[in-house]
Amino acid sequence: MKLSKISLQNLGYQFTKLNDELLKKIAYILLFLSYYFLITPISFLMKLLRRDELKLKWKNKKTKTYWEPAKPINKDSLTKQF
Amino acid sequence: MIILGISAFFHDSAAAIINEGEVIAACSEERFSRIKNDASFPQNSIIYCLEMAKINLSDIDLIVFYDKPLLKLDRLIETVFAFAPKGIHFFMKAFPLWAKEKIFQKILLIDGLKDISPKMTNEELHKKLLFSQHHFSHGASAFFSSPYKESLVITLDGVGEWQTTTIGIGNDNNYEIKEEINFPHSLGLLYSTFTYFCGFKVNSGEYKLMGLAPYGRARFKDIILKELIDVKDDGSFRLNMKYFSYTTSLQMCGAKLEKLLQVKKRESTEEITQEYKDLAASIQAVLEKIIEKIVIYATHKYNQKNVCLAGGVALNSCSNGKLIAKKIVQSLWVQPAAGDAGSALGAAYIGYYIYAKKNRLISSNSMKNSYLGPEFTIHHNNIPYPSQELNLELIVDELTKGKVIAYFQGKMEFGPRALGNRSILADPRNPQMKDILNHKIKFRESFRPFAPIVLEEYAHEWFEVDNQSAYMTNVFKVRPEKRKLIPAVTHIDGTARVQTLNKNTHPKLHLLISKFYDKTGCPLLINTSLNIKDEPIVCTPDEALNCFHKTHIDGLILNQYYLTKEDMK
Repeated sequence: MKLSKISLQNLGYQFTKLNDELLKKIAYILLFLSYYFLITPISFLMKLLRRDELKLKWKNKKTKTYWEPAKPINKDSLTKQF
Repeated sequence: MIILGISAFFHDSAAAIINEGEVIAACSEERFSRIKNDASFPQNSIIYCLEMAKINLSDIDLIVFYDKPLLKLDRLIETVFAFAPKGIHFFMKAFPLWAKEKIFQKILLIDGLKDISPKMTNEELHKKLLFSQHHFSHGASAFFSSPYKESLVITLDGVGEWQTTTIGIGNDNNYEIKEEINFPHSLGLLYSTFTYFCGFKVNSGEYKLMGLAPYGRARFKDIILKELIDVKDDGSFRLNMKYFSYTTSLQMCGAKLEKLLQVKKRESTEEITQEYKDLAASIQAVLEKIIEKIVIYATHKYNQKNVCLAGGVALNSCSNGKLIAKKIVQSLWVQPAAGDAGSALGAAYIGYYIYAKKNRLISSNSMKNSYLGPEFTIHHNNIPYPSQELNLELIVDELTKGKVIAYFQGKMEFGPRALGNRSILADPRNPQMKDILNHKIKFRESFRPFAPIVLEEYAHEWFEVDNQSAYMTNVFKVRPEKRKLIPAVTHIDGTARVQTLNKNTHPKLHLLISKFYDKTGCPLLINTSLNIKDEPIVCTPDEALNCFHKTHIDGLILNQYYLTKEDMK
């Protein structure tokens, strides 16, 4: 009786572990697929629209400065995480 | 009004507490957890801060976290979109981490705080919790601890949420960021890329690169300025991301940079050849030039004579020293804990001055010489080895005989430097001392210099220093006629990272060095941090004993007691 309880517990533990591993693998596969089938096409679209949020254009000879005005931080914005 | 500031979840977690604008306590979590650059929730540091303020967490008026986690996520997403399909490795590594825990930082914070004070409800904690911004916290940590009523505030580091470099103005109880440069264009990340390229660890090896620079010739400076970074006259800059890979992978750079520089990336175990010394010299020269330009531009534009610096790059003491030596700034204040740990203090200041709009408390020593950490009472019976009462004459004798003495006294320092309370002291006149310290105790690279701690009243006689330099944040020239007298602290370029010691702020150590001066005519000692290689600086007497036991330190001063290695046998 005692032995079978331990065996069942062990089996349950193994199953949970397997389940976790499986979920982790599924999550990685989903991430991988979403990167190439969702993020990459959007990225190409953004590049087509010449959106350059990170200002990756190298050496802008027309501009005299790369400084940008900063958004003010007020009391209200301190309560937010963004 | 009592405010708790927290920095956590990236590197160098810390907590700081202020009461009516006065700093009560501040400490990095690594000193308690013994994990170098510990990034976990700083539970021990918070508990320590609360103990020092003699209050419970429920008595705190505001809790301010040092940055905005969701803005960081925004940057991460934008980066992934900007570089796809190149960034698969970066994406697969960073996103599960964010999805699992980092996105829930507010919950992690609340949970951590509830562990400290289980009676507090989520609602109570939510009401008290504020979120600053990374560079705003850096800037606030520098300005509100400075002795200035009005000042320019410049922050420079790797990256916060988006910002990497900012210019702001602090005026009385207000501080405002005026201009910024955003990720991926970053002086901190540029310097870290070269740190990585030269085989040192990013986020901690930058000091090594700075120490290596004087051994080299800046022969790569032109190629860096031509190909890697475009610098405008006002010091603003943009990186050529073609040569950097920190946006797409877990490495800072790849084969393209090797091809450009015609140098192979060094592995940490490989010999440091002249080309890496030249690379270090080059990037140091570029960094100094850009910081000079930024300071000149900003001081003129905003008509300011005082400058406050913070952010990891502000720990580049060589660059800071040049700003003073070249008289580019009239008055400079560098936050001693300029890295992310110091942001905990900045966050607390933001709660007090920016959120609560309290009147400014200006002090010439707001940081209390950085002695903001734990202090321990030691009884003779608690020391597991025979010990003797401290006799300063004996210590001076030992030092002059070439012995190395660990010095554990009073409150632990906040910030990366040991400033005389958790220090190792030695004779700077001994030409062998650098090698003795390196090979027997510190086990670090032989090119790295050791710093002097000098009696304030004699500092100008030995170093080209005008004012006090209590925090080791600047490098100064050793006066040419003195260089041969103190070879162990004179770097190859004739400089030293000086700490001046004031009689009133540290009377015990001042007395010891005064006695050393009386006997030798030399008013300074070597001062290096009391720790074992790759471990944080010691915090407790037990850790000091452990460090003493494991290394070849000859003697240990534990408050009023003195132990020798013979005593331990």
